[in-house]
Amino acid sequence: MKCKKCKQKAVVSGLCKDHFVKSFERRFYDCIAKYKLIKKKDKILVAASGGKDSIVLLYLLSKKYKVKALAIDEGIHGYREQTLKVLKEFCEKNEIELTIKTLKKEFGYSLDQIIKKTKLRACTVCGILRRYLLNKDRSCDVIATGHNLDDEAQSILMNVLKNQIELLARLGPKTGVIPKKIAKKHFIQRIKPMYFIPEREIMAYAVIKKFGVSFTECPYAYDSFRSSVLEGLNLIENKNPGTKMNIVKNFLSELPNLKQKYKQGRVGQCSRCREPANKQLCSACQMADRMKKLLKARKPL
Amino acid sequence: MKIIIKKAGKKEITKKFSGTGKKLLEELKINPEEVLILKNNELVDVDARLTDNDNIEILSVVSGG
Repeated sequence: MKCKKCKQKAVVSGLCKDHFVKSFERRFYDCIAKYKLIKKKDKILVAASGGKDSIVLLYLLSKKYKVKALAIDEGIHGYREQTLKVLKEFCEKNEIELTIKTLKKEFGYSLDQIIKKTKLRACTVCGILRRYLLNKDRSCDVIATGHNLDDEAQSILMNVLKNQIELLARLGPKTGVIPKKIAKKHFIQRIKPMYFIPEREIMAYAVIKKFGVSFTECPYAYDSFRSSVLEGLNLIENKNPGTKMNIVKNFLSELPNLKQKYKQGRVGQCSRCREPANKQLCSACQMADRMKKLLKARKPL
Repeated sequence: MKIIIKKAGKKEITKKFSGTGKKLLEELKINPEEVLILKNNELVDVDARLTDNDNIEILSVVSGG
């Protein structure tokens, strides 16, 4: 098959290498401009893991903006060591400041230990504790994450399937937009510059750019509701190309209504750690209590 | 044809095959949406023709985390 724009061979999405790279980068920066994700003087923290998404995100952001990276080492044997190795090498080569925090040091146990000794779901524990550690970094104006089109289409579908429509209002290319006074002090805005880019194209870009990203999949990825949605959505996308984009675009057209309907009330503070919370304790402190009960954790938050 | 499949772990298989990448994925029961194909270390489209002399890598695009 020939490239849609020239006579070269197409390698991905009907484009040759050069036209694909151009199209990819244009869509990345267009998303930042269209949704005003970054202001000129913003200090950007990239939530990095060393996987393809965060490496591509770091690469493209650092071409135009000053960024630093924060990685959370959950302690997933045989997986995280590999991606962190790629991340360290990448940051060193591109002179990007990198901080690595570990669940073991911050909470007393690695994710492997938590999952081995409790019946907690890996993705739930990991998500809550990672978000908590990310939000604790107040040295930046925005936190950029590597969420892509697939992630967003899955999240939309998951919330619909679980009948959690009110949670849809918290999705979108820019999240965590709560009253500025509280936001600046307690919650850093999250941005998703790869919002409209399919996961398959991000891997293709990483391969073309020879970033040497690991192909390793998270061993816990198969243990989640998300993985069932991912598989189903990919089957539909293969037969009906454009499905993921349709889900996300239709969602975006409804997002203003959802935000209005499920307006976030006053965001409180956790009575223990002072992080944002809707209940007396934030999700991370609640999780830490559950872990403590199940594991007799030595280290409180 | 030597095929390295980097999906849910790494496995290597040898298979007699000649045809498009799409056809190969169909035979291996892999959804094209979830992988990329590298032919002799070069990224190729799923419609690319593969022959028995090629070294093929099938690379998962799902990483998680």
